[in-house]
Amino acid sequence: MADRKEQEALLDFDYSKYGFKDEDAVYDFVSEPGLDEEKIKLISRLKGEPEWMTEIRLKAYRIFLEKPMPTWGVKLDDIDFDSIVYYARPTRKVADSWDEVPEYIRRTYERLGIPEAERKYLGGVEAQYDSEVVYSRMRKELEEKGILFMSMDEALKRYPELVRKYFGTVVPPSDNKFAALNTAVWSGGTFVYVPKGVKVDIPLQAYFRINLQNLGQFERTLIIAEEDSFVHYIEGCTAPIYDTHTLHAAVVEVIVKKGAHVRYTTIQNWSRNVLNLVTKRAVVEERGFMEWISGELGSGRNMKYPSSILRGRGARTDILSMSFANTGMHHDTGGKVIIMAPDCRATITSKSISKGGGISTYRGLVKVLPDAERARISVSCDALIMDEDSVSNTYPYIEIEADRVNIAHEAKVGKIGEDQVFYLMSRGLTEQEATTLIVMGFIEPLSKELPMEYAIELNRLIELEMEGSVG
Amino acid sequence: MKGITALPRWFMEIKEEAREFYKGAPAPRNKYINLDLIKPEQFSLDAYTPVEDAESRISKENVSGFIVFIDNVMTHFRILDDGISIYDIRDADKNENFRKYFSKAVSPTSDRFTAYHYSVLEEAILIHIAPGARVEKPFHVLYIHSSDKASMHPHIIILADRSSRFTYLEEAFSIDEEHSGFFNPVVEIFALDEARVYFSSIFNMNENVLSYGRKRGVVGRNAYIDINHGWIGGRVNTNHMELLMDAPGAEGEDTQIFFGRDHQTHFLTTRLLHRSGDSRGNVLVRGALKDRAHSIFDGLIRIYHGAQRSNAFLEEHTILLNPGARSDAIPGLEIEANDVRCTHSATVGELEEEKIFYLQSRGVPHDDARKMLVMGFFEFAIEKIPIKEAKERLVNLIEEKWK
Amino acid sequence: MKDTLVIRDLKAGIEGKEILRGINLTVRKGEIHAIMGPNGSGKSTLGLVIMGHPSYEVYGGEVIFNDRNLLDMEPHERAQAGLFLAFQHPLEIDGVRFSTFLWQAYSHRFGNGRKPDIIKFRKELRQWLKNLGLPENMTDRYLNVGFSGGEKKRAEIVQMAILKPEIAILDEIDSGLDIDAVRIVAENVKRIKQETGMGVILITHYQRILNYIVPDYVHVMVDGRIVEEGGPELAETLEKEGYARYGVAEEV
Repeated sequence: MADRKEQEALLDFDYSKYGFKDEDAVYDFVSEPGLDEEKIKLISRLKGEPEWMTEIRLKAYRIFLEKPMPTWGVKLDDIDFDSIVYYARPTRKVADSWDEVPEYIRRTYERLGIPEAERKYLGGVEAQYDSEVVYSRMRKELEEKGILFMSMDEALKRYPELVRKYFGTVVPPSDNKFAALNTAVWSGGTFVYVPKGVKVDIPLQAYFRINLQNLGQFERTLIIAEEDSFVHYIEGCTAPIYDTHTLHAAVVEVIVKKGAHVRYTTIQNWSRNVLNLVTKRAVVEERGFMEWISGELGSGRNMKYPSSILRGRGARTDILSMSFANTGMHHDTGGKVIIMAPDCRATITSKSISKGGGISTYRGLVKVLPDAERARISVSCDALIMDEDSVSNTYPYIEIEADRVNIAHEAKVGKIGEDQVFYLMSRGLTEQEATTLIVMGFIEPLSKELPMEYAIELNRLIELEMEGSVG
Repeated sequence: MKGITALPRWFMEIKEEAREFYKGAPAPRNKYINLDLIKPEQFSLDAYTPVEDAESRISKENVSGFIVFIDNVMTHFRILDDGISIYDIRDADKNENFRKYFSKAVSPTSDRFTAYHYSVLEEAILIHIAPGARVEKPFHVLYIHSSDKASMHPHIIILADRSSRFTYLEEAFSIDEEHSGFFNPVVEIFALDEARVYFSSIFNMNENVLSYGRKRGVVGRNAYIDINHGWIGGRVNTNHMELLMDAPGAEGEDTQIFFGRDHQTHFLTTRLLHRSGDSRGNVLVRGALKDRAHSIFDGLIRIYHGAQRSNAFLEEHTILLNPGARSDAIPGLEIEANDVRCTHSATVGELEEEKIFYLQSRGVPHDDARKMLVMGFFEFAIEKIPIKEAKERLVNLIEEKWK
Repeated sequence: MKDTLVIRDLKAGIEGKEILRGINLTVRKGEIHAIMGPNGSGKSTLGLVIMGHPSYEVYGGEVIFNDRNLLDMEPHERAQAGLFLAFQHPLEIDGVRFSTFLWQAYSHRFGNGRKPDIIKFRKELRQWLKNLGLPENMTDRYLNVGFSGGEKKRAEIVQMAILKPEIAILDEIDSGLDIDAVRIVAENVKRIKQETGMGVILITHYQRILNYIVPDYVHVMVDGRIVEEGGPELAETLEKEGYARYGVAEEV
């Protein structure tokens, strides 16, 4: 039996850590719920954007109106677009010192441990609170190497030509309804530019927080890694627990040039009232390498399929994801790889856990076009179902149009081995501890890819989710 | 036999229901194929051209019975084992089983072409294996495509009664390589408690034939159904195979091989449906494609809520023999119980160079080595065919297609 | 020259990386040549290149067998011409029965366009399985599938006995065999040599097998070149001193 106090402390620690809300939050501007062209123009004007961006937004809005709702994946038909608040600006200023951030926001991030993490092991931190980035700072030595790390809004002001060149080239607004919506109302998000040959050896982190009830968060992230560069970008997401749904519809575009390497890590721990519908995609040039790593713990309804388009010879991608669907949750996640050039390699590893009636679905696509000779692809999906009320689905799509290709797909579904639990219990562990330990082992391939601090964090969150899993 | 005895009223009602459904239902489609290209009305239900010596393909001393269809007409049948009885739809009122089982495994409203099958049905055959009967020799069925534009809709119900054992082989082929046709069979297999059914099917109608078949095996308590398909012919060849594990101890096995050349398309759907727990299911599909051939594999394991202790495995492997061939696969899982073991795997690849070299190093020419590897790849399914001559025919067919 | 394999200044490698850097070797029928060398010296590559493995590129030199240029020939043509390679790691080939496959290879080698005598083939096959201590039902099993490591090696020798090559290359034929199995394999190699008069190229890292099959010539290969040649006594020296004398660190 684990120390009860310790367990309670853990429980207490975590819920207070993420689920709280800032009752005393004050906003500089909050738009009326609902959306029309006037509201979009207003957001664009408030941000002082160039006209071409306003045009992009309006065009995307029209696409959004025309696009049908996806009919697959999680339940979406109850989204009331008229009740969503599309823009809420807590402050006009992006601070580069925590002292300059409004006090109630700083308190939030301190409770989440961000300033401490920044001091210890991050190369740069950006914090987005509702619609706007409130804090952004990068270490001086990184700045000197020519790395750009700032909010998208700031990038649009300072580097309009770079933004204009790449914005919407990887994920066009016509891609899907939510990508169109994001393009119309985007606010915040991160812009990263790594010059040729520069390797950023400590991670850059963005932290996304939704506080306001009914707020839709639509951040937009653009990462450009020039030839032979390397960057590791980490994003974390949390929100308070509300009883109405909140929409998070982000778009992430990554450009991996010749020989460059981008590692994109997500720890998603939205509260369950958040609908997480994100479009993340990378294009990878010759010998480039794109890694998508994600731990999906929160969000009641989650649709997310990080994608890599390998369009240069010898390009590579690894997509590694872990998803935990607990009671009342439906995760429809996976990955897509489209191979257009010879000698490419890809691996997709998906680990899912369903518990207490939760539904985990893996949905993936591997497409090899006729010129993509000698592609090597391996896909593996493992699912753990913790009890008889939970569900696991797997829908992999494999489309091969080139002949000198080797693709292997594997999926396994099952429960925790009773023998394993018994073995650990015979060494003195409680059933709860044994089960939790085995689940940790199950997601080890993911946690070992995370920086240590995040791995510890992930394990803590899993322990929390595993509470009460043993009758 | 047509028109001699009136068809039962309940049968006519099912046909009517199917006809209504057919009118409104769209053709099955997915992102890889749209079966709109099949227009059943373009084929003739009355086309019939006699075939001389149709029976000569049956080696009567080695079978427990046989049925021969030419185009859409059943021309011969014989029972050579006491354990077997055969009933025609016109005998339905003499045999309660007919009404009890007809259309119960394959619903008339499953999809557009299955509905068409039911709507035009004039003939249906129930093969009943008596309780406890162990029919050792295989039962042999021939579907002979003889006329141009023939529309063929055989309906076979296999009822393997308690503790019986039955082996079945069907072969479908064309007399003329140029004649077009539409082959639209439905097979319903019921293995009652402890029964064992071994079902084999070789499809080699010519490459102007469109086919759409639907089959379901319902596996009872401690019963076993073994399905084995060889897909060689057809222009667009569509088959929907389901095994329903319906009681504890049920076990279903589904092996299929396909070989595609030119512009052939094989669209194979398999379903392992575990409605009951304590059951086992196994699918293994292997295929090879050359020229511009295309395969679509849609496989699914479904474990229903409460079907604890189900074990299910699904594997699909395709070899692409040259550029231009294309393979699409969706090996899915829908699992609603936790005490289960389910795995699936799918691969697409080329023949392994190392193996070709190994065989070549013993003196086997390159092309023969490739062929040998493909035949070896198919061997697991070929060896299950219960009639030696049919097995040889299948091997020869693949070898011929290889050229 | 008849009955002779002549390798002249053979340079070959993989993806532009040279592994064989100029090999010269002449093997006559009836002779036994041992090629020894540390791991990574290119010994196995030599066997695979002589047999025509498609992954290797030949950058220069020639390989002549019975006055024919082997390098212009497909692997199966080399086999039909009387060359045999016993693989270090024989491949598992599912669904292809050992006997079916060997019959086809046998027909190519001895058929001259007609089917050879199958009765004779079966009789020989049974006898050689027995000689190598393999079960008779081996012939119905799929080629090397589920064979133990030792069974695979012995099955290679059975194939060699049936195909009666003029020159056989045996790549690490004793690896993974216990001492009794080594003796059986060696005795049978000698018996086949006696019956057919074939020449043998023994590729080996260790001297052990040479206690059973005494070579006429020993060639030491290091880094893609033959650096020393001699009689059987050279192998004994190597056994005592290792490859250190060639500047090669022996792995543990």
